[in-house]
Amino acid sequence: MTTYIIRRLLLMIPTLLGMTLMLFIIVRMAPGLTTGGGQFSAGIMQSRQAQKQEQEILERRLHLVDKNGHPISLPMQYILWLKSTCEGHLGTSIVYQEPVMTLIEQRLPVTLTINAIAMAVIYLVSIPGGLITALNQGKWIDRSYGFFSLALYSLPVIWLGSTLLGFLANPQYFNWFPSAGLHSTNTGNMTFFQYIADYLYHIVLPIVCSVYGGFAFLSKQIRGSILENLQQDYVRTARAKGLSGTTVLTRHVFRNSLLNLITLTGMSLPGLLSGSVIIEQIFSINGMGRLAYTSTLARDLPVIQDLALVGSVLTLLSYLAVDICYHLADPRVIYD
Amino acid sequence: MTSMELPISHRMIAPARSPLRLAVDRFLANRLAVLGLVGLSFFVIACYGSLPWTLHTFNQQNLSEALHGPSWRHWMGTDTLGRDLLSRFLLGGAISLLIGVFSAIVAVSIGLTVGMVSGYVGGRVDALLMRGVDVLYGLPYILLVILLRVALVGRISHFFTGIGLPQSQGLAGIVVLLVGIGGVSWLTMARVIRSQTMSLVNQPYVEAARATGAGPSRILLRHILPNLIGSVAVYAALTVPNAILAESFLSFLGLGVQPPVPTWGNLAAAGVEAINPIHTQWWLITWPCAGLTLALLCLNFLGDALRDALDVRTR
Repeated sequence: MTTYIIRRLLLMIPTLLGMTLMLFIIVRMAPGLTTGGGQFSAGIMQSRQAQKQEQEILERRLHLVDKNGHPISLPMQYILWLKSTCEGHLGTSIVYQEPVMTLIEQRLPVTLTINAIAMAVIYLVSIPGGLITALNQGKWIDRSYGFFSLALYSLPVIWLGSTLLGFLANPQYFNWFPSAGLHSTNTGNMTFFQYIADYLYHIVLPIVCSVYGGFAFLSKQIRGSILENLQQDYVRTARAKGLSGTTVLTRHVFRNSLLNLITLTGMSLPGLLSGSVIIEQIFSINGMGRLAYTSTLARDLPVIQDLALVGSVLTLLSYLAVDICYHLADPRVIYD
Repeated sequence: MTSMELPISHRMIAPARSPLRLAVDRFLANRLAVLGLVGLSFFVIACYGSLPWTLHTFNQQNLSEALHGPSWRHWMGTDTLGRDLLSRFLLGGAISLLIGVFSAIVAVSIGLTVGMVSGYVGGRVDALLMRGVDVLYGLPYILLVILLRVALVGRISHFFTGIGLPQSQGLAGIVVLLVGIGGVSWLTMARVIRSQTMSLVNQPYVEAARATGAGPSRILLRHILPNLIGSVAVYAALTVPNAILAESFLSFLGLGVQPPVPTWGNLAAAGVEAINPIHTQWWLITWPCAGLTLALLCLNFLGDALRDALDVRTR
């Protein structure tokens, strides 16, 4: 197992190199990305001289020109970027004038909280949902669950999000929820639990929006794998040796069906950290998705590159985690 | 539907049915699927049948009638520029459906080719192609679409103007969107097709074909491809609604098809701005979103039923 993990980690290196190269090419290909300087330096009053100096410092930091101001060739730019990343230096945002790491630290908690709660709710509904629909295959409960989960899945989040915001967080209609922000104004004199409750109260609507579409896919997958397992020989054996229906279901069918969940969960792990641009945009939440989106629009080169890089690494690591979990959960799965 | 209502006895003495016939029967026995098919046909007929009319009226402005609610003159009301929302809705539907179908075609062609080659050839080619898929999986999707837009829209619209097409800017936006969405959606498809091809390659009939001297292209096209049609149909059917949804997301972010060319996505995005505390022009967001929801629902019912009809697991 250890050799396997080490080998997988080594195999990740070429993939990562491919990703960084691809990323580099795409980012440099688009016009306006590399020469985006000037417009974002805040001072309109700055002299042309100062602007030029600032531009030069920026270009040097992005490895576009060397110390003497001579342009660096593209392949060399790539190597320099790779080198500084490998040394652990993530870039510094041009727009925010802060290290990318700090930006991530500021925005990750919100996104992670919303996504983790949303994911928990989706699993809590979908696992029983999938189980019940599989056991009642073709009956009305199966059909109506299928209908409603698909109907929810088809509801565009743009509409639901804006409608919820427009009617439930609007003094003119129902002023039940705050329309923006993550805290009330008087957080200073709150106890810890009040603070948490206040925080949760502020993210109810975004969570609702991230949850409702997720039932259809997961329930369908669970339903499918339970139905598949119910037809297996070992189920017949278990029934034949006189185990009760519940025991067969919980100890045999259900546990084997959960194996499929490992893959699905592993695939959704990187998404936990990336956040939904749409939902964060609708509810004005400064999370990871919005950071990526605004930086791309503002051509904030270091942020785009580093966010994508962090995302790629996480994706690869979660694939590895899936394979390891598979082996732990099902010893029959052996990797040579 | 009629086949379902036949008496049991009649069905039992009927001759053995082909897998296709079985799948069609299973599909038609699913009421939601039939509902989806009917609903979708309705949208297709309404949106494309009205094209000769909507293509002329979708951009006719009448500022004296701006922001009127639904009435006999304008069934769906008018927008901020006094344009008739019904004709914009119908043309928008036609374009949204077009985007969905063409993105699915792009996704299926790339995914099928990569998956089949990767699964059949195996070895280094397989490793290389699959690492490529891994690489693309890790890259952020929005970044890709924005960059494609910035890089391509100008050139394509220049080309369109050159060959004398009207609305070349809008058309170029649609083409880039198709390439962008389709170019990202093929990844899952390629993985599924690859694993299925790998298991099909070891089937005795493929070996038999090889023994009789069939070349790789003949084996792939005549023996493996027909066995993949099921998964292809399912994935294509599920890619269409996802592409339509992706277009609406991108339009909401201002990166989709640019007005005045309407799509359900950018109509809805324009309607979102109309929800405000002072005065809510509900019709601006309700109609496009209703169209979007109903069409997505029909498409998802279809895709779901196709999966059930073709999925061996749940048979």
